[in-house]
Amino acid sequence: MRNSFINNLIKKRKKNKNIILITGDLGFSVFENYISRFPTSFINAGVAEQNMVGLSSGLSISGNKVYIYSINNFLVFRALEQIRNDICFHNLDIKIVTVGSGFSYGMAGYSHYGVEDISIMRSLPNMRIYCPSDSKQLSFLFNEINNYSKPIYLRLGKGGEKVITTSAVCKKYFKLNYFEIIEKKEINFICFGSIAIEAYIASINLKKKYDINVGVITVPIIDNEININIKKLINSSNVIITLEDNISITGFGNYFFELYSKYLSKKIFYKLGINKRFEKIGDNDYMKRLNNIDNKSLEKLVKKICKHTFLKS
Amino acid sequence: MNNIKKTIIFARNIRINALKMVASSNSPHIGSCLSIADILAVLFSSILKHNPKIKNYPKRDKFILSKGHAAAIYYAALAESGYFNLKLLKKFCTNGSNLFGHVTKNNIPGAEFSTGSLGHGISVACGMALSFKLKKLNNKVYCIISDGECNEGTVWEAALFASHHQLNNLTVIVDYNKIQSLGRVSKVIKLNPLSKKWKSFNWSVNEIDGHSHSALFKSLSKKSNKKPKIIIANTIKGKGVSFMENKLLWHYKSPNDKELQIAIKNLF
Repeated sequence: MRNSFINNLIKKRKKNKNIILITGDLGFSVFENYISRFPTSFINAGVAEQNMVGLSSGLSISGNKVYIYSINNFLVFRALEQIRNDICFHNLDIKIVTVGSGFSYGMAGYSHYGVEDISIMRSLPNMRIYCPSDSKQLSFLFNEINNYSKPIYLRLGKGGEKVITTSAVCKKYFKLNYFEIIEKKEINFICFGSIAIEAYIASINLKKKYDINVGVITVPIIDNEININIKKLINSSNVIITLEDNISITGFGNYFFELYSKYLSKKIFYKLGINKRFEKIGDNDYMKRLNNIDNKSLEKLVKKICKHTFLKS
Repeated sequence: MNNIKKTIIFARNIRINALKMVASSNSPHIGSCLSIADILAVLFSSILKHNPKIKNYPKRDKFILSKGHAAAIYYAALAESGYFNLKLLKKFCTNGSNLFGHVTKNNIPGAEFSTGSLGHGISVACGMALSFKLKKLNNKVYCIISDGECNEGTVWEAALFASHHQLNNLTVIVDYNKIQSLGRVSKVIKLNPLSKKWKSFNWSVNEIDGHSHSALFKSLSKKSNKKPKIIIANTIKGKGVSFMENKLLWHYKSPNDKELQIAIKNLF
């Protein structure tokens, strides 16, 4: 997704000289093309994230459209007060782009895990979160992201995410406000971000092995002022399972439940996310398994639900 | 300096208004306000290119009060400059008012950026100065920080950044009144030798009497070739009111009616 991000940004920068990209000394083998084309629209702020957010605010309030880039925690936590006071309170046109969502940095350990950022960012005033599931979604959403002139938190994986979104799915987004990766059924996964690949694999396996149909939906935005048009989907479902690679409390699942609690009251609702973040170390797949948010655990869960509810939609 | 009488009157007026504002709202930080009165007076009367009557005046220099707790005297300086009616100052720190206890941009004409948590303003000032450079504009950026604020790591992150990018359109003024929240700077976290520290960060350094209007004018007017400029303004916390000078107490206390009358008399 990093490459998709920079390629899209290059296209935008060609048309808008006021775009500035600032990095906190990260982006090796990602930014070279952008830098060679637009050297004066690129700043390496050094390993100084708090100053980077502050100076991006000064640039933005002076009429520039600013993208700032770093690893998930280095911005969200190190520079949180600057994000809150300088960017959000002033409602500035700044895109906070982070890589390394969830356990993308696997063996690097807890210091590099981006597993609480959604919880934090969704509580900030004026902040809109974008979390595409793959590079196709990112490219599709990029125009909207770039044109929005208020704070954005753009949450990306580390790279190499499998593309599960088709052009046909993107077309339907305009009508639905969500990506229907696998058509809605009685049981549906509602996913946030690149973790959707696990739901996607689980859904395919459930169909193949047990003829169980499960829909896979990805919602790419959290914004307290946007109403996702998802009531119809909930009403036609019996089971809703939210899935995220953020902690299971205060993240996307909670956001979803807060928005739609009255529609969910007669449904079976599961809110899946991360519970174990630093007890053990492992690669991305291992850490997902540890937290039961890998495709095999999702498969088991759905089978269990079907067994207890006699559902086999 | 031609306008010395004007700046002295400006400084006295904003001191009086700040005293009245904190007294009527029972607000803290009057000591921190009084120590920068002379700096604000010279800046707003003689240095800053600004036009309170034109909202987006293109030649406007930017000013950020990074020590946002001295909001009262900053609002007083904006009103004294003509950005809004002096009567509005009576609303300071009252329910429903836009004049918050820390600098808040909320619809306040002339206010550039909200501050309050220390160590933010200098980074924002760097961004503004860089933006002017990128757009090849000659506007300047001024920022006042406090001495206690120099404890913040971000001040030194910004110091590195500004000198690396040769932001010679940026002037930072340290209000070096030697007292921070819980005591004397020398006892809390030593800053000295402060000038040498900034010099080693490759800034152009001037150390002056921060209450001398002529010294302030001279130092603020001085051009810097490639380096960002720092003025270490040696000031006195509570300056101008004898019973407040150099007293930590007046970081917290606001004057009662009797103290307010004595304080105002002190200023004449």
